[in-house]
Amino acid sequence: MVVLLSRTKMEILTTGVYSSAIYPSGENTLQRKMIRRTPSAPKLAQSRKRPTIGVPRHPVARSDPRLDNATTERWGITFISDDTFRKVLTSYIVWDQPCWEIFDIDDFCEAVSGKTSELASKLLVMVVLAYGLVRTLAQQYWQ
Amino acid sequence: MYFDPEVSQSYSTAREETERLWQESMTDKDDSIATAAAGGMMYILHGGDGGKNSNHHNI
Repeated sequence: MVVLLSRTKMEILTTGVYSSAIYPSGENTLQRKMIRRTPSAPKLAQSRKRPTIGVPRHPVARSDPRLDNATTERWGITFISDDTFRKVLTSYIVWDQPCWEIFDIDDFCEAVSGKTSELASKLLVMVVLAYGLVRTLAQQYWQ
Repeated sequence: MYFDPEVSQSYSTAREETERLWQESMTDKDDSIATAAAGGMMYILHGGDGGKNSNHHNI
């Protein structure tokens, strides 16, 4: 039996670095034998080990650029950091605003950033923040 | 499952602050557009029924 493998694939098989990603269930017995033959290859259970997920994630990775100038100090909010404040508001903009569309989001971003707007209200900022926070908690619940 | 402590602690504070500001705006009879928008958000935040019969968001 002749097996022709490319150099890259042979390197992957002998090192076993990407073996779990390419052959996650290990049905291919030929590949499993080749991994076990090489002395430097890790054990199958070790190669399949996944990193522990312990850090909670926010629904958004980065905040909306329209909120770069938004600070909690402007609204008298002391219980949350500026970065989390922007991310929570961004999560509302990304995930919920397209569904509800209660107010114009551009005007709201200008209001939060300190520009003159008819939506400049601490009540509105606080209720959007509360809604974004509970949605962030719901997102983290399913992680 | 692990909650960000900053988020979980901030939610209850933000919710209480929202209720307080809402009562203030009702007392002052504030009829601005921002308050109207906040009222719509309050309706959604309470689960659509004023929070009387819903625990959908009570995590």
